[in-house]
Amino acid sequence: MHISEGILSPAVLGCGAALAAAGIAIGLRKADYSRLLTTAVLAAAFFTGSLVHVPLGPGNVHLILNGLLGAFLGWGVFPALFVALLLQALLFQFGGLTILGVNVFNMAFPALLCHYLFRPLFNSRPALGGFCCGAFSVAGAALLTALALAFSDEGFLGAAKILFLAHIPIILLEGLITALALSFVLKVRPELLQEKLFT
Amino acid sequence: MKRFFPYATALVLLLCLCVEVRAHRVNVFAFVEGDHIRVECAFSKSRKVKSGRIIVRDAATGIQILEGATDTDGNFSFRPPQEVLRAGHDLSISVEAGEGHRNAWTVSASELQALGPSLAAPAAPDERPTVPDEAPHDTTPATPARVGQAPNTLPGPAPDAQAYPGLNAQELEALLGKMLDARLAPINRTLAQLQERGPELRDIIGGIGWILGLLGLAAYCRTRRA
Repeated sequence: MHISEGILSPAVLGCGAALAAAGIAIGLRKADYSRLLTTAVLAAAFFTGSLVHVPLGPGNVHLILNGLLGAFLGWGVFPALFVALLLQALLFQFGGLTILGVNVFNMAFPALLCHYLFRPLFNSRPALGGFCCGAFSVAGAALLTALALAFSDEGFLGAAKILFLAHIPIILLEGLITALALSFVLKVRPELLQEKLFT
Repeated sequence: MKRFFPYATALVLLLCLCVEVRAHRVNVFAFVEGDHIRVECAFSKSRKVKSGRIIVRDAATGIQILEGATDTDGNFSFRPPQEVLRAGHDLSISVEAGEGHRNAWTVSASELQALGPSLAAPAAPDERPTVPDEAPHDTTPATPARVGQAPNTLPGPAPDAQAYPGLNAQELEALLGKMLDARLAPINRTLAQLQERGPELRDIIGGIGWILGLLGLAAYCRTRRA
């Protein structure tokens, strides 16, 4: 899901950077400082989550966890993913610095959408809400990645098909993990999801 | 602290899951082998890039020289065209492995020099016994030995240093080249594997440290403002 450097055209890079910067700005403005620790820990989880490879399917499958971050953080998912992806680019050479904006937007935006779409489900049916959050965030990220690649020579349909097929296992797995995490937190620390969470 | 504990446990559990850490950037490594250049592409030691797109460019001018695809073992071999060797520029070899994965490797001009003479002047074994001192390409250091050997081409008790009498410079070069390739192959493999170094525990812990550091910074700024 991390696009490497030197693939996308400058226009796409600029667009991605601008959108990501806007998202980060809104995320920081809406930041609730009592949730600083949650944000940091979830960013750390995302940072390490990409290293957990799942031996499923033919693809290059690893956890993404953007849906989990979106469910908990709302707009805060932008700054959290920015920090985590920046560190992944610097320390692991996943992605790259010029492409950082595109990668941040690709992963954060679907997570944000899912947050608002499935939020009503969190209290009534947390497992379902969590599953949808996790699954659709990854699917959305795959779609946006394919869209970004469409501007290079890979062709949108081809890239989208490959990305989707490769990510089907992880879409299901992410849904499961997010559902488990959400139901667990609702049982153990419900205030994490309620107190000023959805600003 | 009480709030922190469940998070910390979750993080430790996540770290424990990282047993099978594999880099998911694509790696590319190229070296001179015999009369061609061999390119190896892999996501990790066990996962090779199958039918990845290889593009070879002149690193100085950026002109595309040739294009190809890796085989099922992630390998690709090619002979650089002569005009490229003559130009003396570096070669930039990039691999596009799909899904936005891309990486590049540069083969320097000095490495390419090894390919130069043998390609520019293909060995002609039949001319060997005729006129040894008339060779037009006397650039190799092996030439003086050859001139010295030339009178000894007749059968006779060969001394140690002349175990292969009548071997001309090009044959000797080819022989040595083959031997060196065989000897250096393991070293080239090791170098390729070093290229594929995935994230280490040090990097992971460092990154988490950075995130916690930023958390501390934000908290500090907040208390200053309050």
